[in-house]
Amino acid sequence: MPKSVLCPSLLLLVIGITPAAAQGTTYTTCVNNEQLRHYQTVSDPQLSPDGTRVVWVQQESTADGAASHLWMASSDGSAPARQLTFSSGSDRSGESSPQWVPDGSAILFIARRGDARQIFRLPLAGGDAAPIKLQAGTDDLSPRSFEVSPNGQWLAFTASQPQTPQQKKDQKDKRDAVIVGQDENPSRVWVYSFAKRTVAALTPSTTEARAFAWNPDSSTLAVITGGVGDASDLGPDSTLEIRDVADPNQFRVVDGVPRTAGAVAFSPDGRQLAITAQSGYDDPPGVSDVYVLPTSGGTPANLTGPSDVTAAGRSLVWAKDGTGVYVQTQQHTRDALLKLPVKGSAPSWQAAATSAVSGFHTNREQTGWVFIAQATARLPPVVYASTPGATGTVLSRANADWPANGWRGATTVSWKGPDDLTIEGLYFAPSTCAGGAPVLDGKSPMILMAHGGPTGAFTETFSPFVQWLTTQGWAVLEVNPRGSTGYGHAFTAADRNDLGGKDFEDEMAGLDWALAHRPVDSRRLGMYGYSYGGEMAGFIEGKTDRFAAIVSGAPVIDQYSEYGTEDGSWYDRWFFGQPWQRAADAWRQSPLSYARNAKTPLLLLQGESDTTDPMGQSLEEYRALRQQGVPVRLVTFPRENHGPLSGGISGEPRSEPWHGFQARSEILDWFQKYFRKAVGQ
Amino acid sequence: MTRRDSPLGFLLVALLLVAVPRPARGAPPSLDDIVDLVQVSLPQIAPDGSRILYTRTTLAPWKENTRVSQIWIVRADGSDRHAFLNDNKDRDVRWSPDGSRVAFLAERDQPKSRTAPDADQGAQLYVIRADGGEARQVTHHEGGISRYEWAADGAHLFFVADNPETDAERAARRAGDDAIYVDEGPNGQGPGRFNSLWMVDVADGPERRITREPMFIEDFMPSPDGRRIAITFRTENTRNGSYHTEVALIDVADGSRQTLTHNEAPEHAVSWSPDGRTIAYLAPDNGDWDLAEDKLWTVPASGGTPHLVSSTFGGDIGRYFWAPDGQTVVFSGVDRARGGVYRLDLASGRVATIAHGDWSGELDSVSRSRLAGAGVRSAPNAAPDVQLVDLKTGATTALSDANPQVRGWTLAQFRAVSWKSRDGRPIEGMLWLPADYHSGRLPLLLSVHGGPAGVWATAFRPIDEVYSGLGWAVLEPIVRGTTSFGDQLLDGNMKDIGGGDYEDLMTGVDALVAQGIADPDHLAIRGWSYGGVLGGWTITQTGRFKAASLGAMVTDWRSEYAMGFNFDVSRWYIGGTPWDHPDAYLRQSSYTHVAQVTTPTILFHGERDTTDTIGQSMMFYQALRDRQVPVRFIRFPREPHGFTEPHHQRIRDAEEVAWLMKYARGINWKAPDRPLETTTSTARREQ
Repeated sequence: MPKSVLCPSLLLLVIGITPAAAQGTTYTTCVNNEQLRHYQTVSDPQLSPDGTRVVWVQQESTADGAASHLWMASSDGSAPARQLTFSSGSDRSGESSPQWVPDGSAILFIARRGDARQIFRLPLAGGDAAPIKLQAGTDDLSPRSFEVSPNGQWLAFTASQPQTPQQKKDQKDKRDAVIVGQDENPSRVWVYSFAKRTVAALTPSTTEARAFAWNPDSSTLAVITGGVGDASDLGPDSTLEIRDVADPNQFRVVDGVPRTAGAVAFSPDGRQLAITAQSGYDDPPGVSDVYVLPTSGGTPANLTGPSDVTAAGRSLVWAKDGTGVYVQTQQHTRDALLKLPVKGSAPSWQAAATSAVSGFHTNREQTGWVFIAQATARLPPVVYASTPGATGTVLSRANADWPANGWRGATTVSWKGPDDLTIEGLYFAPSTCAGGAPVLDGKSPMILMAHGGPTGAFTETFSPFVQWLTTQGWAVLEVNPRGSTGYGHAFTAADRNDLGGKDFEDEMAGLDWALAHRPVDSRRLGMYGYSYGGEMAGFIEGKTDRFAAIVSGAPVIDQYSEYGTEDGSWYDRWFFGQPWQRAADAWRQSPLSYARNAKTPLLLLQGESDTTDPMGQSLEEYRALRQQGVPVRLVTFPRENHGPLSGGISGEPRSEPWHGFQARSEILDWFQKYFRKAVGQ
Repeated sequence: MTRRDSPLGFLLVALLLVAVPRPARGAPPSLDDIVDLVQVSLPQIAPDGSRILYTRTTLAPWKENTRVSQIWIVRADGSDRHAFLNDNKDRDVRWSPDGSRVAFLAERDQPKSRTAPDADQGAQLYVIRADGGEARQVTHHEGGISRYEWAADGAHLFFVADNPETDAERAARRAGDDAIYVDEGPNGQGPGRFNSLWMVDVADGPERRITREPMFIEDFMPSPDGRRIAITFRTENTRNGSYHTEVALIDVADGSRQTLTHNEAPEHAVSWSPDGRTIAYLAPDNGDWDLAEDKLWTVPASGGTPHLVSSTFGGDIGRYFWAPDGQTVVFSGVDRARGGVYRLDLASGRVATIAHGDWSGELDSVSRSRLAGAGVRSAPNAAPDVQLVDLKTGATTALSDANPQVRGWTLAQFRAVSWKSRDGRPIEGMLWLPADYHSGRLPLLLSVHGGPAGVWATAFRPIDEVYSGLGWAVLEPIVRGTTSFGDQLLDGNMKDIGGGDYEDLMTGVDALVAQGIADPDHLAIRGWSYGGVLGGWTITQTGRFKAASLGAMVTDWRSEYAMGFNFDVSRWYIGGTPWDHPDAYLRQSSYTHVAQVTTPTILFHGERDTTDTIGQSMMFYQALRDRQVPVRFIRFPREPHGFTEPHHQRIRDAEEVAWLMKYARGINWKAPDRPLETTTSTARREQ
């Protein structure tokens, strides 16, 4: 079962720089496949402690190797954006995870220069970035996430326990049999002292560190740990501890914290903790509410539940005065910042500037906010605003050779599904770009799109992939069927034990709506989905003949084999239970069970190294359809795992130079061929 | 025989390096203390004078047998000193004209070229902003870059790069067709490559070639308007052919050349006046290559007769800088063995002294206004540090404190002494005495400088601290032939090496014996390069020395004529060729008189020395061995004329001290084992 892999364009925030390869070329909104290889993104903006400067990550295009670098601009726009970090020749990944040190004199970032990932410190008074030497004994530690303490004296970071000499030797000697489900080198939280230049382990090597947060007084860390290896496949097992930074032996477990705790943040006075944890409703795993409890332990108070919103992201920011917590989340087709008061009043939505904002960041004094301002019809810029709701100043919009505005925008539309539920979607009209599909009798082809998850959603973000689909002269309808997030708990839980059931009907109702209300040609309908969207494509393949062609990316086809072979099964278990206990439910919710009725030409796109929806899933559908005599084509992509391939197809920068291009070529050829066939061309 | 202008460089190499744990307070330094010394060099002051970049070189962990360099930065008041660039091979930092950026050469993590995986990618140009941000690679030039300059507009860089190997040449070399055609084309004694001038746009990098002629460009400087480049160049690579160098102007647009000098003297340090109308350069003269100090010359950029402007200055000019109004030139140099900073008025030729004293060090850079400069200075009792120099008053501010441990050492007493030589010529010398010396006779070590046109500068001399700490008096005579005392002293040994300069040495020893300082029964002599030559000569003429240490010496001028550097020997020091003047060559070679040697001698030589070739030490060694005079010969793999590897430097010094202690003083001395490195000692080096 695909986990909450949301619509790819939600995850990534887009802006770019002029790539050298594109020098002299001016792109239009009539994007072609090669143009998408030159697309760049911005993400992770960080406001300086004094609020005067902003650093963010800009990722180069796929055609230029997809390395990411740090850029900087002044908040008021007076000093224009400039690139701050540069990789050397052999470093293909670049720099990421920027973070200001508390006195604003330097920026820390992660890069892999040489053999290992390291945290680097770039002094803003000038000079090279220098790596911070993080070692356990004489072993180098490879940091994943990190945060400087508020007083600037410590660096907390997560890194795996280094291999022992015996482990290294065994690996070298190929004495390397794997005991599944065990992890001898779990991720731990470590602390580095800037003064002493020493590293100490904070969490033991018997637990897996998942998240941490600094106490504002810099004396302790709140750490969420869980079982090592695949322990969490048997159920949530988080523990929240408060650990003393100076003395790792001093710690206590915070009572009252749910086993589903995912993120944590101290209140400004250090006396309370905000956490995200599984909602108080019967929701799919991962649907979170925000809770607050005393740091000393106690019963958590649910801040989001009463208002039927869910916390989409993992980052929690307390308001400076301690009266509430900010969380980034989604409502219907919009992403925004929500302020949850600790006591009293109702939550308030903070951003009205554009339809989808993300990547919110503020500094300790909350002098201002930075975010990425999304909209379907324009390239998303990094924006600085004094308050989250203000329009703010555009600091940078990369892809300078692309038009900033004037792209095809979506309208939010709705219709009724079973049980009289209102279902929303985003409708994009086809473009009038040259070379697009012919308009016949005033009608154009349409691509129906299903998102992943199923606990996901389409929102009003800029999507180069959708723009490219509309360039072909095709309309696009993105559907948020029941099971999607952002429409309340009941709506999100409405697909329980019914995958491919009423959510499928919601999709078809959307199709009906489009045929009735938009100039859509019923002969030339296509469908595209990835992950759960690919699974939905599988259901559509087996349950209806209305489409001319279907493209399914990294689907689940067979719940029996998926449950046993995917990375983790706890999520799926909520939907239909364990297949050997509930065989009929599992089979009913498997696209394979409808394969005998399949007729529509199906293109399957699959990453060979996918551990979320393993390759076997696509192979099962491929073999079945082939033996049924249905036109089917399976394209597999070496080295690709679940998320990266999806992003590549969507046009986001990826270090795989050609897979996204090739996948889109396949999609284009597939739809064009069958659309033409459908009208006798 | 060393080149005239290399011995000073050798002396600076002889400044050995840092101590690991510091010695007990008040003790003189050990050999390890001096090999551990931290070096600072090449300070570059920002155009506005606010900050100074410099290179800091430290000993790597001992087992790595190397030194590592790092570029540091410091404010003009000496505060906020910290590392600026990180890579060991980063070098040649220069501020952009507006001070907003810094360019440098680096070899950072370059992917090996697929076409030439064994070829050195070579250094490339990088630019880093002065207000924060990483360095960005500007050039991707095959084969690397040797030297560069900023264009005055700050948007371009000019650089010189060796012409790359063609595919045909590479294939031939790989196939084994790598015979070397000596002195043909760009070859000298070994294979060579011509080079060319290029320019690159700093912002977006296309590199454009400027010159296409086969030539070797040495120094160069772009004109203020960026349209022409002044160069010094040669068209052949023969050994000892440096006098073929000429000054020329290259047109940036079409690469055409206009040569401005036509003489038999070597020029260097070419520059433009601020108004772009005049070219200046340093050269000993404008006709034949006379044995003379470098002087400052100017020639109109439109062509004409070179004009000598520094005739009133008798010392050795090191670096010079035009003042913004083009009327004066600030320069640093050595005058009478002491460092100095001066201002020369071009119209009148008058030289005003800004600073002059018992220290040594050049000005490496000056601010745009010429009000401040930066250089590295040392003095007999102060290790070298970066100094900010006020160019109005000459006052200095120390910007680095590279070797604070030196303040805890017991240092030698130092004084200047003088005597008259046999022909009445007055001679100066530097005398180093043990710190606690009051009176009485001491064993005397006579230390002979290289060159011959080298000098014992009033500088920090770590090896002398070790010797005086062991109870020696060390005498460093400034014999005739020495530089910085005017052409007259410089020429003093013309056609007379081993003659007057030998007498200058002996009369110095006599004077100290007469003064009751030197013990005539415990005399030793040491020298490197020409110091080894003259030291070798000395022990064929007298038996008064009980021990000798000779490094990189020459003993037989006839055989060395074609092997090492010979221009100065044939022109000045003996006169003529071995076949035209065989008697002089024989008479003035110590090998002719080697049968007279009774002094136990230790010999050192680098196996890759092409200045004085190793066969010379082999000859001297064999002669002494055959005659059963105590002798020891130590060869050093990979080392050229001046040693660079720390382990070799330590072995050389330890063996020399032990030899001299044994044979001149009867003491069985052995260098203490090098202390094991502790984390504190390596940590100190990292700071």
